[in-house]
Amino acid sequence: MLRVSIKGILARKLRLLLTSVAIVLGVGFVSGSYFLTDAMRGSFDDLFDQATAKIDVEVRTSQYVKLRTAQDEGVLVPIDLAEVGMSPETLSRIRDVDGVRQAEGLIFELGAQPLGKDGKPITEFGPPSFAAGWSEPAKDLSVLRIDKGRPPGDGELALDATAYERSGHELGDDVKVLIQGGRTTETFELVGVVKFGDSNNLNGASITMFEPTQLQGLLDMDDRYSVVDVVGDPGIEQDELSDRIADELGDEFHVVTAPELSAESSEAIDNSFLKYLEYIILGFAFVAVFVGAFTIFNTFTILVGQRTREFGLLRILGARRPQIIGIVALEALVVGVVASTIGIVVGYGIAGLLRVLLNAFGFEIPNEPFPIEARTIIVSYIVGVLVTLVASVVPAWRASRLSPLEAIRTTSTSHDRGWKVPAAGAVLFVIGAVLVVRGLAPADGASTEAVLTSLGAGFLVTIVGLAMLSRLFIAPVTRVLAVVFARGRTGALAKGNVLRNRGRAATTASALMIGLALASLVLVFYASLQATVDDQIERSFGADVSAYNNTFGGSSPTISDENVDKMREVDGVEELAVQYYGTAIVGDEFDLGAESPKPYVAYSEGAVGAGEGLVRAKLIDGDIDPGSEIVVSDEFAEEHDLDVGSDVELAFPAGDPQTLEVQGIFEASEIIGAGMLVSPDTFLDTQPAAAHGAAFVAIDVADGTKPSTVVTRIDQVLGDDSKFIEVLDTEGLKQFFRDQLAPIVGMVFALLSLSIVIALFGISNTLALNVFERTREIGLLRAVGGTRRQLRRVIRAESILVALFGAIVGVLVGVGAGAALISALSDEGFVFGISPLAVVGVLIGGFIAGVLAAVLPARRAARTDVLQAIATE
Amino acid sequence: MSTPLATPTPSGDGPAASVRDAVKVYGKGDTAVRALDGVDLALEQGGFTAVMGPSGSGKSTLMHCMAGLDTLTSGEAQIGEFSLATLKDTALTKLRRRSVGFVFQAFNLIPTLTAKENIELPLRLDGDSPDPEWMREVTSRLGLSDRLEHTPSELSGGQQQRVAVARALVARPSVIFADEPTGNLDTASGAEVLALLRAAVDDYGQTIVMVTHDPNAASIADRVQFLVDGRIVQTLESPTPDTVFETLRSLSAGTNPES
Repeated sequence: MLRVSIKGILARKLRLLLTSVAIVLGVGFVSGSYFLTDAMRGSFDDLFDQATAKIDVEVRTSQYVKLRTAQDEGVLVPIDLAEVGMSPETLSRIRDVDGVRQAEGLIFELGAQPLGKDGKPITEFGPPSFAAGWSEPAKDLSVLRIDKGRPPGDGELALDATAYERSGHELGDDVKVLIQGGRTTETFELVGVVKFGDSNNLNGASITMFEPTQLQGLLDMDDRYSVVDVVGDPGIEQDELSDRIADELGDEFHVVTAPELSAESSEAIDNSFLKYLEYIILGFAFVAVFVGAFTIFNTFTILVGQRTREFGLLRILGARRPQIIGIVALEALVVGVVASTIGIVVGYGIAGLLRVLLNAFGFEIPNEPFPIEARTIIVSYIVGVLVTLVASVVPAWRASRLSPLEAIRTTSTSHDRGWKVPAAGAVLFVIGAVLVVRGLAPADGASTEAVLTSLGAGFLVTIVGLAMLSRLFIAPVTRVLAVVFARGRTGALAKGNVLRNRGRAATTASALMIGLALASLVLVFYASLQATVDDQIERSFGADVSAYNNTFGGSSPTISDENVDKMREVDGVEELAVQYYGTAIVGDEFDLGAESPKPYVAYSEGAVGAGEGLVRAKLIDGDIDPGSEIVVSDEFAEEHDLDVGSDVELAFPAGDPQTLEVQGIFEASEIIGAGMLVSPDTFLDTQPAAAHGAAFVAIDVADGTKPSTVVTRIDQVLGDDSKFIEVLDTEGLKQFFRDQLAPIVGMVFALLSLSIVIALFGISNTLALNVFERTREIGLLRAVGGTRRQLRRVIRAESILVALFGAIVGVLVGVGAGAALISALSDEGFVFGISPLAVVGVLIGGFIAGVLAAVLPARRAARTDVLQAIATE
Repeated sequence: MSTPLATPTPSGDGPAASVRDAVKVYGKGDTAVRALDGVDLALEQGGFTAVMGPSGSGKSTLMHCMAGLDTLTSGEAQIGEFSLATLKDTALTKLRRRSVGFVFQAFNLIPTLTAKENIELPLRLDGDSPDPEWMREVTSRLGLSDRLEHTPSELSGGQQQRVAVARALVARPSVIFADEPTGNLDTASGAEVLALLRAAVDDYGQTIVMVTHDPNAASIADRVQFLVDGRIVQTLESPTPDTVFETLRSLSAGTNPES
């Protein structure tokens, strides 16, 4: 039996190889994701081990650790270092602990961003840029070392080797630095280049080094440090030393040994971007594998159909039904194993490509062989083999079901007109739809995870159901399509070929359908987000011009008061409002462990009005007065059970907690961008000085002046600073929000390409099998006068019909699901949007897939040997 | 109008198709087989020729080479005035479309097309459409008028073969090649198809050449060419089943006494 399987595979090796392309790609993404993230994890681990190699214990305040963790998780919470930094007093207490040989305060913070020679931030996106302090005694504990030049003194700085190279500066140049996200700008002389151990930078993150006292001043730290690093006396265990210091300092401090610190840092990296990177790549793997399952199912169905006689003969010779199933399953197993093996190799390549890409973005993933973990290999094989086996079960069972005599008589079987498949499809479709509906309207108290699971599973089950149902409507759709895409006699032949085995054509099209449905869903979601934002800008933004700081350095970028004043003076600026952005926690303590901080905003007096002014709020209840203590959004009010007149207690990163009375409730909006609106005075009292810059500036232009003219004038006044301060008119602002969504477009495009490529192989494979099955028919066509060109045209038209059917159904399903999703979110202010151009693009993609998929099968059909084909059996 | 149902336009007065000194060798060296070994044959216009011979005598090869489906190793094949050796694949295919009709033993029709579409196929492939009067004449003559919208799977074997004959006739080719057209049919249907072929020759002046094993079938032709080992060994004019049978017997006795 094994021999039958192996001979069976060898006889169809090219066919099976083509089939398994989807599995190869799917497994490739699975293993590639692991290869890459393992390598990055490894390099981060190395880095953290290096960083902590010279110390035994590190001490920070507990609040500082929490705030940093929140920042790592993407919450824009400012850190009041003068409050939560390590004070000199604490440093002395640590030095006095028995067993401490040396303890030094070190500074390592976000908040200083050097500009390159071109006036733009050296790292505009990607990993953050840190500022570090350098002092003679501390250098023994730090892994930073001077590679070129000398350590910075007062008014000087040093850059890391990568930043130095990218900046375009030379030693001795003046370097401008944005302090605290652009609140102020200062100039320093570049005197040195630093390295991080052997690395040029911190795995992509850049380091700017200053003299410590100066840095404390720049970052409003008073005389405090970020951390205190400790070296113990010879012979003392790290754990023992850590315990002694913890005992001395108490709960408010976070004391860890060097290995613990290294592990904590690794975990933080894992939880932040490595996790997301893994999710994204695994998402691609999922699409590839899911689409691939359809392709494999189809190929096995056809191959089994062609071998019906062979199986009949085996049955007559005494093979039992399980043995027939075994032969097919064994073939699937071998295909799965081979495809997974190739997939793992491909995954290694995918990881390599992604590494090049990420390194181009400023990461420094070492160009060493990727680590090959057992987990990577095992998961890859499980995914590849399982999917192949599952996809071959039904065809195998079908093969065994025919009675031997029946099997040996039939030439080819078609399971076309049966009611079972569509019926099962209808059942799945309904189940899926129910799950989707349930996900869209979750029961009270359902967790987000349960909702997403219900939605995701519902969508997938619906799609499988639709794929099974689609054979019912492939006929009318194909007839309509044929009017345009399959004209004339060759067209009629192509149409006939599609319709003669609807089940097969529908399954083939499903591969494309699924991918394009997913892509269209994301597309609709994206277009709707855009439409929603545009809608809100038009409804609630009264300003003509806006400005924001476009640098990204890990802390919230702001515009300095000085620059705001400059803008106010510009001719044509009628009114100018400033938005401040901060975070607070509902309750009497700024305890990040209990709750993540909620954003709140403040605008300069009078900027926000009910339906008027620069920022228009839609009031639901109460009022917005210049003196309002706090106004909250309807969502926020609901979440915290607030009404007009209720008190809400808030704790802030700086200052004391405050109890504020709710004066009004407004409809949540992207423009206001936060659930709470407070007065500017409250804001300035409750945020550390570092966060006092303007997050956003809104400007009303005088009548008769063009907004674009004012934009140009402001750019002129800002001078060099206009290189990082973006000034936009309303159209520009819409574009700004759109740009923030741009990564989604990239995802859609990548998803689309991937699913089209996989579907292309699927369609091509089915067509090739069809051509093989119809050798005699093709021979007859040639004999009665069909030219090779006409034959190629028939196959191409057939391919286009199938591909377009898949594309159309896919787009309809995706758009439908997207519309359902958006309507469910309409309470949140979502507006349905769709880009007709993108839909046409998706359909054209399907069309191109059809044309490309036909190339090889058509060539093969045209080469059919007439004599052999018509030779009677 | 002048005789619309008259002879399908042959080119000039020469034979509808011919081969001269036709040699076809399959394989090379020791394994080479001479399927045709110097055949001369001219199919006069409006004639019905049967080709007979034992298995492996080269009948099918001869037909394929004359019809332009296969090429000769040496010698010359012509359809009308066209010498087949000089034509490239596309030109040859187009010539086939216009000047040659085929009726095969089995698998004569495209399963996805209706009877009518099958009949029109060669003309449609040429971007042409059939003369409706001629189409009506042929289909009613073949008893297919009420079967035109049926697909092959809804037709009996005899009906399918009649559709194939109609397809061959409707383009008014210079010559129709029929390869064992009755091989897969029961006696009654077979006789019917043969009668129709005969009528095509008598009534429309169609040129037909038919390969067959069956002496009864061969006897409806105007003459029978006997092929043995790639050579025409005998020609029988105005055959009857008996004379055909006799000739066959004498040939097998003469050429292959051991069997």
